[in-house]
Amino acid sequence: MQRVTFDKWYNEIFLTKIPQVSEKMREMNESGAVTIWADFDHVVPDWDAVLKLGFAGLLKRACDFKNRHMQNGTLTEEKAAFFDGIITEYEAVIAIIDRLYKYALTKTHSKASKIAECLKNIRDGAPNNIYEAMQVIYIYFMISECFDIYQVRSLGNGLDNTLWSFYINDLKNNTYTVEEIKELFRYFLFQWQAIGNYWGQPLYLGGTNKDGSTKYNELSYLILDVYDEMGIYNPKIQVKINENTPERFLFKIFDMIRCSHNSIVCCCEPGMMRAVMNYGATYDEALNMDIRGCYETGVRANEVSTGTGYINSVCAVLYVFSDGYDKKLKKQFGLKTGRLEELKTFEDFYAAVLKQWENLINMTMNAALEYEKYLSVINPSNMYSATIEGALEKGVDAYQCGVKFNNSAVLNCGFASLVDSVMAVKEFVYDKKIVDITELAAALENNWKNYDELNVKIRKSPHKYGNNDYETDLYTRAMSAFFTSKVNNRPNARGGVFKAVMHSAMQFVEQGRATGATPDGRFAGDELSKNASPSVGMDKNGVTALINSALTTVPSSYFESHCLDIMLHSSAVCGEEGLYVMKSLLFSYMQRCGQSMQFNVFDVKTLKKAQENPEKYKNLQVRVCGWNVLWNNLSREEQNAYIKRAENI
Amino acid sequence: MFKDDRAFIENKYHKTDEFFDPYKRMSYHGYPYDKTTGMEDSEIQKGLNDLYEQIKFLPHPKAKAVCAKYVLENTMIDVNEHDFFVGFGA
Repeated sequence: MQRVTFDKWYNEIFLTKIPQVSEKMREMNESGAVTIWADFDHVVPDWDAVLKLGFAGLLKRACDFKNRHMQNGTLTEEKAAFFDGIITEYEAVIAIIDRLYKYALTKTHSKASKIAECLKNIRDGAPNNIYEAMQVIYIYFMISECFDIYQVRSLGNGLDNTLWSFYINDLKNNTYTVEEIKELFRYFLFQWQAIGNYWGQPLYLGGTNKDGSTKYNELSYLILDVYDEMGIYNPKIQVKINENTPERFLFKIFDMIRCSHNSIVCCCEPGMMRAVMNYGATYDEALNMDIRGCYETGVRANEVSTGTGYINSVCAVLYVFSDGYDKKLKKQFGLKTGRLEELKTFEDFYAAVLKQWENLINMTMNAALEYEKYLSVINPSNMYSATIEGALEKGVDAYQCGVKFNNSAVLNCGFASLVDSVMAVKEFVYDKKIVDITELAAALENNWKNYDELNVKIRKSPHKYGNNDYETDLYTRAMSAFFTSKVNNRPNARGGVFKAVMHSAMQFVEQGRATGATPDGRFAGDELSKNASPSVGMDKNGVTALINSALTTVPSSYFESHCLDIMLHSSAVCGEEGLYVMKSLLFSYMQRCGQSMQFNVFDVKTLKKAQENPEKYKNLQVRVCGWNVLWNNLSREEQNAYIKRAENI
Repeated sequence: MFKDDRAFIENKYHKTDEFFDPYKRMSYHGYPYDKTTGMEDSEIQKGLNDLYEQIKFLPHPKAKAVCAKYVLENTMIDVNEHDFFVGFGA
């Protein structure tokens, strides 16, 4: 509702301050080569501060910092506006809680007095028990998302640990029994299932204490039990995995995953910590990092990492074929890397691909360097900034540059499609000389029509990402290193750095729709590869080969996130043995510094039956790309892609 | 009991028997709230547009907060017998 200021200031900046950048971004989006927009969707407040201080305490703290700046003579006009924004907004938050409290007093139903008491307490101070803490989290979430226009990308800094002290105190003081707490969790978690946003609402569990012990506790199990019992898939849950993760917990989540009523991703601490430390975080900061969004990392209460552009990497190959001309834009958009006939050797071709790719990366970062100067002008982060003590100390917007790590992410999308396309050109054009490059260009232009034989040959080639093919994996490693070296740790516009990401979100579908046929045998409009996963149906050597190939991308060199999707046939993970199979796969990935792994467990028969008899499979879920959806909510085209993948298991 | 309230809460943000685009953010239109607790969306929108004209010269953090305050003051609210969590009519 409160989009009036956002929409006006967004247009003011993009249309009047930086119209050239705006036009460039429009072209990037229209071309399908880069999907880019100004991101306000990735904040995680300092939940410890929110729950320790409550709304009233956060307001008081902001007032105290304002006074301190005033006394120190550091309260500039800009800083005063920063504090005034926070103060006005938090006063309004407290006022609506008061309004809710008074409204609750008018009610006589069975829950009214309990709700009224809760509202009175959280209006005046910090929450006293687990129910009040949940109500604070919920109210913060709703106001931030609906009134402050910032998506909250984790409930709690590890929900089990954020609420742990409340849980223990409530049991000790007989405020609530375990059963009553379970019941409260049912109401709490179900809010996000009912909200039903496609991308899902994240929360994470577990982690490692400084002494090396696990952070999993009774509450972690309670949350999972409630979630499992309700059969919901939103919120989505990230679980931190390490050597110390109790087997009981692991087997619980594996069992949920293989029963397909889950939305769980396994986040391997060693690889993620390495990634976070690669841009300057300390060991302690890495140990306490938040998991946010789908499986992104971030230093707790001290990092903002915006998403900038989703680079459709296979476009680098297509721009080599067109010498940089973009058919959708009807203009030169990529670099001029020479006419196809001039690319006499694979070295020429490969060099041209890397140039085109670097150009897309630079185009993305250059746009972000311009528009990210204005994030807090477009959308000051009043709610969020109040939770970040460092921002209050500095007196600057936390989302703009008020935290220690003010970073920006650049996403590598369709990476396997890129690798497979490069390998196809190498094998079929230059090594085996089965097809001339201009003829391959004609095949792509015609979407493989009348080139069926060539298409089949290319698709059957073993030189595809995900098969642990030696040469392909060397190119995978090289191209992955190329991308990360062009992105990582380059300064951004907010005093931080850019970070590489191997994460596609929905772009593997959206960009796929906008992308013509590609040399790997993919048809125009088909899905591109997603995350660090192989192209649909191209991994034929089993899951160990896939893991080996994925590791050649060096997951921890993707400083923000890197995710591998694993598909397993239900027969491979049945019984007790199946739990050990899943553990073995996950731990072998974790021990070699993989970051996140998400499992999809099903068999092709079930999927086909579900496609034909949707009414019988109303609860069947599949993992999409960082979130789950109901099978019946996928288009037939998307369902077919899953069936194709399942046929390959 | 949650099991008795589940179906009701399912309609808190979107009516389950009506089309809902899960890509569309914050377009919550579930069961109706008590109209005496606040304004309709269209009234708030109009009020916001009018308010913006008066405060557009303020620094952005302050102007945004004033608009947020206006919406928070006028949005409908709910405290329901089927839910332990409050409702905002945004």
